[in-house]
Amino acid sequence: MSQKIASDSMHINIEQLQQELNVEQREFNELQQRHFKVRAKMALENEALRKSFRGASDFLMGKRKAVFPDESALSALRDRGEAIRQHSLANLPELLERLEKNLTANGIQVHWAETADEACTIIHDILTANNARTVVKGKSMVTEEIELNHFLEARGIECLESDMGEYLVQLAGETPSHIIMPAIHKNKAQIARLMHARAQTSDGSQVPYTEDVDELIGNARAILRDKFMRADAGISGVNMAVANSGTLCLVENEGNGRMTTTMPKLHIAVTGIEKVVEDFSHVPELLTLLTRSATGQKISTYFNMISGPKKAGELDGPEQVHLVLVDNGRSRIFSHPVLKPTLQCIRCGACMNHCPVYARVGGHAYGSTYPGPIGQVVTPQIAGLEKHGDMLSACSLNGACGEACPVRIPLPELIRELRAEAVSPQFTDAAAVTDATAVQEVMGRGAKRTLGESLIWRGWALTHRFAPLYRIMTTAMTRGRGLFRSKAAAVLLSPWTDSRSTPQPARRSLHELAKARGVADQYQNNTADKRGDNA
Amino acid sequence: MNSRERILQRLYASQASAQNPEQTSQTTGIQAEHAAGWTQLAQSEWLASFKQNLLDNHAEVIETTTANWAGELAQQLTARGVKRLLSGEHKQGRVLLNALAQFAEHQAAEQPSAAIDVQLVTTALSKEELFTAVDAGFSVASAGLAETGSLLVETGPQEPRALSLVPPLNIILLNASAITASFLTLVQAQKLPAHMPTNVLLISGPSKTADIQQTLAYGAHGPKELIVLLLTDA
Amino acid sequence: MTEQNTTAAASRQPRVYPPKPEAVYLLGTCLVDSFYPEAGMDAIALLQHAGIEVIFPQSQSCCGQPAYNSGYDEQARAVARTQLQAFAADIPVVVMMGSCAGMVHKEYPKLFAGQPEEAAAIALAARSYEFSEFMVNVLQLEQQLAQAEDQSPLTVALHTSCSARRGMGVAAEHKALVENLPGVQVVEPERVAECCGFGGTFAVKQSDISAAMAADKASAIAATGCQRLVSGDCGCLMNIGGTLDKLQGEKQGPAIPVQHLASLLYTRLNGGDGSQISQKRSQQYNKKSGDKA
Repeated sequence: MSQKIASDSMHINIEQLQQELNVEQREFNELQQRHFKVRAKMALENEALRKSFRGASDFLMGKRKAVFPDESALSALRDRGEAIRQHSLANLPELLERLEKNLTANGIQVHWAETADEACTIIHDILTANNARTVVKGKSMVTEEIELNHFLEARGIECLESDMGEYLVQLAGETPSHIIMPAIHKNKAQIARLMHARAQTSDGSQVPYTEDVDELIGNARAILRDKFMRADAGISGVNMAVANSGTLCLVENEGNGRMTTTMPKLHIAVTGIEKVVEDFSHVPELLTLLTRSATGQKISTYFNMISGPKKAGELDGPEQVHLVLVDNGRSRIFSHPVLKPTLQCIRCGACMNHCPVYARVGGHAYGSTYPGPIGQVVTPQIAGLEKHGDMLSACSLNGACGEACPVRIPLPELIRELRAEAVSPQFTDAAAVTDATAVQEVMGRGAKRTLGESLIWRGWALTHRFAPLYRIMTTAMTRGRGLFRSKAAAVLLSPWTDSRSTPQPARRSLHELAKARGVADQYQNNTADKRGDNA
Repeated sequence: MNSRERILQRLYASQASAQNPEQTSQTTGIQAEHAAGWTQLAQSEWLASFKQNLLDNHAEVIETTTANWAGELAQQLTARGVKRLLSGEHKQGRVLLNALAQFAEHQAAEQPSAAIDVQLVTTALSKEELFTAVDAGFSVASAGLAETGSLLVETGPQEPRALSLVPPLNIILLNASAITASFLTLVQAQKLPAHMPTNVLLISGPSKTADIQQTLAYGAHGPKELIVLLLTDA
Repeated sequence: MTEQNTTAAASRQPRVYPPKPEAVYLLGTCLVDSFYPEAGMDAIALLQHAGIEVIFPQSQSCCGQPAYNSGYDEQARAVARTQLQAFAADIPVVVMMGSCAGMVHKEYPKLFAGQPEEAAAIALAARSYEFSEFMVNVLQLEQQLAQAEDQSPLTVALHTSCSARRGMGVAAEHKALVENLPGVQVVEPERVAECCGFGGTFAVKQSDISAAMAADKASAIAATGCQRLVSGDCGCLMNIGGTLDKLQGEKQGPAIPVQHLASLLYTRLNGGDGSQISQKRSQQYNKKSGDKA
């Protein structure tokens, strides 16, 4: 297909290609509205997608491993990362106040937003106050979370993503499938089609078809550099905000983060309130953990430390810098005794790179801004269990994410805890959790509890609690082992047996075999007594 | 009550109710053991590590001296066909300006077109010009990091931010004596400015991306090439 | 037991092991109980050969993990309470599966935090050991395998479950036991540390994803050319073995019998001929090879 496009006359093929891409985009949007399981199934059946994610996961896991050759050094560094993040959280409100004070002293204007909508409104107000009509965006997951692009575009402000991956995803009308590598789900050929059909150079002409990565990047570079030159404002994320010095730190390779924060007159940084660290002395270890865990780099090409707008005498840089601190459910997470470590996250993506479920279904299956294990933990907490509780079952609790996490977030424990919250008998309505009470429950607590499932577990508990009932059950299973091969069992066990042979119980249970062999049932701390006691 | 007050109130309320005994120990723990954590390079390894990391990241390192660097750079620039270079208005920029002028005189007889237009910027830069008509930017780094091959560039009136960002070729000058083990040791030795300049950078190579099928491509949005001039006698 | 300090850092401290005890409990686990009882009997025999009295409380059932992992803490606690009573005496508990060992050793203290049984749960957690963990660190069995009766060549693929590998941290123990068996060659499948897709209720609730993971794992194991798959977790054995059967049924793979680590050790040490391989499965194989013949 791709070769055909490359060689044939361009005009006809472009139209055809554009139609195809429109269909793909429609299908993508429709699929995003469906249930997790439907998306997962579609993803599993998509060979190209499976290959993209498997390849990317293997690549990123390999790169990470290569830059952490020494297990004990890694372990010690993870201890430090955990301690630094926990220290930041233990002192979060004080550090936020200190950050605000020092940023303000440095000339950076600080805004606070409780909700996604409030954050978008604040940003929109800053833009309109400065007559900004075109915006270039550096990579920022929190602006994806608050759906800033939609908000601004609906109000007539052009909002262009400039991270290469984000740019491609925006061009396709999709959402990122990975927090570090947003276009990880697309292969070269797909990107070649996309660029050819939808990208336009600054003079309005079509980008020539190419599958050469250097050429593809060169084409995007030319388009985006023109935008950097002209944009009225730049919006970026923040990787760490240093309270003591009033500094915003950005980690990147491409230079788009620097462009976004340097070239336009107005820079608006957006961050979740958890990204604050106390002091610069806490930064180097988090930085090295971040880049090594994310992409296996010792350091990113650029580490950009911003401590103010252009000063008198300086020849370039933005005239205004703003920081929007976004809560959007984080203060609720902060109040939860078990789930609080969610906020330790430094958004490296290692958990998704190491997740065997993510490797198979990819990021879009989760239907949320944050996919993979951290997405399964963050999303239900900020958007509610009712809407996003289903993704919690997509975890085998294998622990690979927890093992990879550079700041030791106990991700499997948090996923399990959220499962417990989701099926809790106490229902918590979303509306009930906005009060400023000390400990707040997860939004939509109990939303996933069903009568059927809770009855199953009650029955299970009953049979496993009382030894006689348990023995009756195992006896029935072992004596009725033939039934496991019956048609009825085949229907009942189909989630298992569709892809596996039917398990069959043994003829006699271990309880029976042990008893028959005369294995003692009870311990008696008197060797003389216990032999006779085993009748 | 506004959003700020509501958010802070919630955080303070949770903090008070958590009564977390770990809080204090973690706070003290974090002060206590700074250096534990990551590998420490011996000083004898710094230079080699610094260079190797830069090479691994697709940068070019030229070891030279205080007397010779400008001349060597002039040759490099000519070889690359650089027509226009911008520098901040600092001592090293003036040295380069003079060297290129001399170089041009030498070359003029054979190659009249080889002259390089060097400008020490003192006024606000035209973006149009910067993006379209400048081949190279010259910057001076205040420190180098051996562990990662990074250059610390502190921007300011004499060091505009765009010089190390927009032109396709980025040249950075560094005294070898300013190389230290790592970012961690730099911060611990309090070598970051006490009052941070508006923009401080760690630069560790030319701009790059692997966003298309994990294939590395250099020259993403910023420089396509990075030349590091390392003054071994300074 | 004074394991009051349950912070993350403390839980990463290496475990201290007791000297060889006179008696131990065997926590058979519900899966071994009904599906792989021979593994339990082989473990009992191995422990008895080492001169240890084995107690098998008839009142034991399940550690409670299925409900716990599904978020039904109350039901998990009710069942776990039964185990607290069944294994009440202060002697070590040898647990037949990594995931159940992880449940008792790591999760019980959390499950009973603030409950009347908290102290008992912490105590049980502290004296519970995964099978291979006990065999290596308490009995040093890996050093006593040279005299094994059966030293015939056997190629084994070892699948250490995620809970054994990451939860209990006993991958090295698994490896040591199998590698030191004379005649046994251990082959490592691609992505050896990746989950097989079992995950308890995950296999049912997300059956499509689970099946995809199991298929990859089964293919990787089949590709090693091994003669047998060995694991310390029967959930994985049932999952991978069942998938291997299906592959074989569809003529996409060889017949690879599966076996619990305890059974491999017992049969090699005592000259078994593989007859201890799960009856169900060996019958299946006989039937299948009969069909082919």
